[in-house]
Amino acid sequence: MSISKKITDEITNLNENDELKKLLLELLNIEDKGNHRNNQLFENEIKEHIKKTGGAK
Amino acid sequence: MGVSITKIELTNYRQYKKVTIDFERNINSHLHILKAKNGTGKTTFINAITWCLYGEEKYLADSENALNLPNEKTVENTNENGNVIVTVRITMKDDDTNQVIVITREHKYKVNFNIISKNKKTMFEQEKFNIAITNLSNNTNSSIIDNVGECNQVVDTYFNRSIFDYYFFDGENLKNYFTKSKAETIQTSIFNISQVTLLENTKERTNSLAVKKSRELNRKKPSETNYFEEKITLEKDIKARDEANKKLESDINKYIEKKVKADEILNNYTPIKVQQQRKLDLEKNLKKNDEALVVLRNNQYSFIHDYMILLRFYPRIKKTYDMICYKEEHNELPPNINKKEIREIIDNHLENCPVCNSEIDDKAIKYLQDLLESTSVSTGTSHQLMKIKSSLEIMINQVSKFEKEKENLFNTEKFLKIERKEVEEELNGIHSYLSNYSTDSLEKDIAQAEKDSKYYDDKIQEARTTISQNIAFNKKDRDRLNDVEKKLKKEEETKNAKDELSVQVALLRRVTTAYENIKQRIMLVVKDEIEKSTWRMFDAMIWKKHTFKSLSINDKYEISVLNMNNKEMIGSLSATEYMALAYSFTLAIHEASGKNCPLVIDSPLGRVSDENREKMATELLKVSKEKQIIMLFTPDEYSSEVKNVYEDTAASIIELCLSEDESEVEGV
Repeated sequence: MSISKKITDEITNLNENDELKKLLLELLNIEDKGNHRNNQLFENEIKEHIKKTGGAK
Repeated sequence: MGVSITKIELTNYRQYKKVTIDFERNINSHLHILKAKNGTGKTTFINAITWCLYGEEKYLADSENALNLPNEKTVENTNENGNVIVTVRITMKDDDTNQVIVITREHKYKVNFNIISKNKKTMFEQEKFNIAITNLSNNTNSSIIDNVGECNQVVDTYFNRSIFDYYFFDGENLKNYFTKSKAETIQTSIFNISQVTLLENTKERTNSLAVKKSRELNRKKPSETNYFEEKITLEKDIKARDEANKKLESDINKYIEKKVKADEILNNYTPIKVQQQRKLDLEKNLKKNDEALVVLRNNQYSFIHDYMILLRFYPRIKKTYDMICYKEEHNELPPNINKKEIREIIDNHLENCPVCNSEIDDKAIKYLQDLLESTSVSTGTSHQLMKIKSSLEIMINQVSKFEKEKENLFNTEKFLKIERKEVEEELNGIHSYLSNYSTDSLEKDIAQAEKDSKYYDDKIQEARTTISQNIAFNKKDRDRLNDVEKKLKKEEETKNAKDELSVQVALLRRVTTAYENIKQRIMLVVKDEIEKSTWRMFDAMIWKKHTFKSLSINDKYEISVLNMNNKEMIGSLSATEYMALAYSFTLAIHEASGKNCPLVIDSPLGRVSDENREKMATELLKVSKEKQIIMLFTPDEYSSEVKNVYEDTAASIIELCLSEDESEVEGV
């Protein structure tokens, strides 16, 4: 199931940078797919985000 | 428009032997009406849909005592051991994704003959459940999903199974719609369809990851040893020792120079020292020579004394000796015999000679008797002369050695004098050589040079020992430094890992908070939307305009309907009001799901009184302009008021009829 418009709107309206918004959506998509390797995929996404942004807000 | 069922195909499903119903909207609405007498197959039609979607006939009155699924007539017409396939296929169109979704459930049965009952019976053999999805936008081939879990997931996207009765509505059974247990299910389902559960699960996962990473972070304790300080100290010590060794090497070179100088001095003094030693040795030899001369002088005196007497009397001694020898040679001397002893041998007739122990025979006795008779002269004189002869012989022999002994003495004296002369000459030479040097200065210089040489030698040894020690310490310290640097590198890696973990924890917490905030907002918005939407539709469907003031839904999704005095009325609602509320709430949930899915209603107006029937039918017609509604009526329920509203506006009106033998739905 794709992430509902309500949620994507809420994420878009968050007072956060675009990269974090992308991350929030990406993690939701991973969780939605119900993969048993979710934790690993989450960690990969988190690390990738930190690599891109340096972890700073 | 949303999601709509475009076609339902039933094959051998109970009384539906082979029925296909198309649902196409018209310009007025997407309302479809199925009319059928009681027992014709209205509820079976809804059961066929739920069986296809969920594998269960949700509205079957008594599943244990129900007929088998396969169509009776088909079974009867099938040979023993033949197969009957029961299939329900629902074709849907999703306008939002522009996809056609075909859901097919198929059961295969084997037909057996029961000898006792003399009937044919079916035995379930195999189920097939799959979904084909065709994307109309890109004209690609259909993708087939045949995994049960994935199929169920797709079904739940459109018709969430936990709230199936809000998609397949039973107008005759409204009481269940607002029970407390139902509220909980509704809440769960709304959370599912509005993806609040997804937000919660994602939040929980990020939170648990944050906790896990935080624990991991706490486990990475900083090292208690200050390796950095140790590294600096070690580097300092190593450098200091390296520098000290350089200085010591330089000192060694200086010491070597000084030692070389001292050794040069000593080398220059070596011949003098040799001469000094030679002088001492010669002086010892001279002393020995003196002593030897004294001994020689004494020997000479003894020699002179001894030979002076002997030489003076030598002529007489020689003459006497010669005379005795002459007499002896001419037998003028009586034998030197013992008359008394001979006489005793003869007189006593001794068997053996007392002198030689030889046997004395008669011949020997005769000889002895003759010897006694012939010896007339005394033997005493002869004996005396023989004694003198011996002494004279010694003296003569002594005199014969005189020349040799004299020569020996002369030679010895000569040797000693030569030796003395040589020693004295060499000593004079040495004295002459040494007289060129001052004795005091010489001793002092040699002592100083020796002292210096030893001092610098010691210094060199000491410096070399220190250098070796420094090298050994530095080797040990360098090994330790290597270890410390490795530990520092590891510490740095740990620190970097900690920093990275800290950043991850901070980010995960930030993400968790964001999800929680979004979830709270969505829950609030969804509840608010459902509440408003339910009230809007309820207010429109109800003819009373001065009774109900408001409607509210609490966090547990329990509905309250308040009258004008703010009093709870939910328990006092009429059947019509209850149905209106149920429709309103159902449609509100459909809205909140974000998917405009079809609503299938069995007995849609069965509990509604005549005066409200038209009004409610009109409201549902309005809804059907934007949403597909399939209504299943009995002919009585489809009264003239309802007919007036729907006859010209419904997209399709289908009448289901049974065959003459009532075994199958025939007319559609």
